[in-house]
Amino acid sequence: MAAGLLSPRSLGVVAYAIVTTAMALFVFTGSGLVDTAAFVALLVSVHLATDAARIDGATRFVVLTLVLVVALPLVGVRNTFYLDVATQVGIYAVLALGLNIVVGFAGLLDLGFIAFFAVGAYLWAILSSAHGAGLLGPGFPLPPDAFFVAILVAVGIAAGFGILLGLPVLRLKGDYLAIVTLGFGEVIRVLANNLDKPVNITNGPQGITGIAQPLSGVAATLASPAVPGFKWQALVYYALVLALVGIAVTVNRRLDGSKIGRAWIAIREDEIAAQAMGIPLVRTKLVAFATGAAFAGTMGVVFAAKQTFVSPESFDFNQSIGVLAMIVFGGLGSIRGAMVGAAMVTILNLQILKALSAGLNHLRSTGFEVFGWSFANLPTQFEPSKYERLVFGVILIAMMLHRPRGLVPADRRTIRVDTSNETEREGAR
Amino acid sequence: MSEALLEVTDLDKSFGGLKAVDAVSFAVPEKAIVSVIGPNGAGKTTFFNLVTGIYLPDGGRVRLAGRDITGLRADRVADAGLARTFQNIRLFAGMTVLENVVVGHSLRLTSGYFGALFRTARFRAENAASIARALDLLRFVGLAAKANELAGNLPYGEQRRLEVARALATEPRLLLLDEPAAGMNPQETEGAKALILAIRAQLGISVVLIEHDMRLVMSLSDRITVLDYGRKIAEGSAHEVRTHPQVIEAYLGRGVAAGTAGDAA
Repeated sequence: MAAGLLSPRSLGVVAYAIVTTAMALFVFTGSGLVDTAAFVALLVSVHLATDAARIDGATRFVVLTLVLVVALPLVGVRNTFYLDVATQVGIYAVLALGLNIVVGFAGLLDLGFIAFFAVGAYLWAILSSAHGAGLLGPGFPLPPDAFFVAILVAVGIAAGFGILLGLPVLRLKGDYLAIVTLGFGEVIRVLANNLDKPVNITNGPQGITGIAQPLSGVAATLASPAVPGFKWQALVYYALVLALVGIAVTVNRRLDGSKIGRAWIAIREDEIAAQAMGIPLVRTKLVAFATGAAFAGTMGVVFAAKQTFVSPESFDFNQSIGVLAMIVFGGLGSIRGAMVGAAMVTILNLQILKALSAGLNHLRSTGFEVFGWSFANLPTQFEPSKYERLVFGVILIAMMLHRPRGLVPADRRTIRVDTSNETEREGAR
Repeated sequence: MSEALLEVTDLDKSFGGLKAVDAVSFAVPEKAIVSVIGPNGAGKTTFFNLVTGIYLPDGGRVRLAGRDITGLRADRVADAGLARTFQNIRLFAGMTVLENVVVGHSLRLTSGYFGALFRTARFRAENAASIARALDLLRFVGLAAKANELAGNLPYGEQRRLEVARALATEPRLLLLDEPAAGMNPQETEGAKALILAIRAQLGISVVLIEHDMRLVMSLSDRITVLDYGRKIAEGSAHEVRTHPQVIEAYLGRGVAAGTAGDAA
């Protein structure tokens, strides 16, 4: 440490981050498969830099700032697509962190988590669109920058929905709980789909359009001097989501290392013993539901603003399963794992499978031949984006067989003490 | 025995047609070690579960230090000062040894959810104190050297000790131990005995134990209560219980009991 920031231990990660940043910025700036790989490699440096075993505190901060605040936005300005992917990853990372509290910490299998996301999204959609103005009357739609108030309101409302779902189902365990939460998720989706009559609240299957975007003034100011054609609003969302991810991680970590977090784990490990140690089961579980739901509600607001459009199909059962898959990939109860899982699943969906499709299509259209067989004969069904779920399932199976505790298994050591001075089997004599 | 610490009167519990606990009365004085024995299926563990709020009694009263705790939820019973261990060990296997004990102490913390979220001064002070206390308890049971290990990885005997430490962390007035020496070798049983005596001598906590190891029971207990088919059939000192004809009958059968009674006469 005397040599300043760079201890030998941190050197590997720093070098890696610099190389991947340079690659993504100057060499692989397109959208092909190799460019995607370079982008993923850049994201991996974030993963490495958050590993306390590989890097020292101060250096970590520098590397994370370099990659997240400098490199990624620069890559994004050159190619908006990457900025969009990074933002999506962030949104899903917060969702995964929320679900991680419910499923990973408290061990309550929730198959309808996306419902809370929908609650947040529809909240902002109704408050800030012309459709909502028709419904709510004068004073609406709210000004775009009421967005930040809406986020706080969404935290409260989604937490309320979490408690609403939690209250009737808390006496259920395991499979039964899972089924009820699945039902709840469907109820919210069906409500969104059908609440267009008698009073048109959600505008039914058509969804709500023209949702206000916050900080468009900031985006406009940024736009004047720089790159033509780039949508600066995307950068605003990136910054916003980055900040929210930071908050979500902090909340997760602080709760994990506190009485409430340990109570969640205790309930997951053994409900009867937990109660015998004075942990009130109902209240502790409700808090888990409410906290997880609040995360989802917050991101719902961001999602609605970013898309400027919401419709029921964004909140179907597959989405709930998708978020669950993220935390299972990453490792249940693992905070870094939830984020790795979110990045993996999102990039797989948005980039890798699509890039594979594009690659195959290109081969087909040019009639590329291998051993006398032309790619032009390739049936259209054989397109990766069409069997996305299959690839997904295969990866899940492989993961469960080989790394059942996820890519970044949860480290249950929130408190460490020095035991070097303790002697074995002493005391009680 | 003026005011008993724990006072159970006419406790009843039926499962279907089976009377698992039938009008059992029971008292534990301050700083006492009391045992509950009886053949398998006599209703000992059910009795513990009724007292600690895991089951709801059909009838009867449970008073702890003058306070009526009948039918309270298990977490409230723990809060009232009654802690327990389990016959089939129920540790939080995925947590560290230290964390298990810290969880036990969490019901005494006043700083809550937002305290943790904002890392308030009170939260940090309490958290540090809680960890220090848990470490002390681990030293008391002799597990401090393994504080950072996962509870599920401990050998059997140490898991039992850890359960005791976790229960002690709730700051109880009375500790119920359900078969603390089950499955232990003679040496480990000696350790368990020393620990139980230390709990009373050093911490001033009363102990009730269910145990099948008669040597341990006879050498430790101030008083012994014998249950059979859910009913209390005898109560008294080790000597009184050992020579009680109904107790011998319950353990060995009628013929043997008659024979022993004849020998004694």
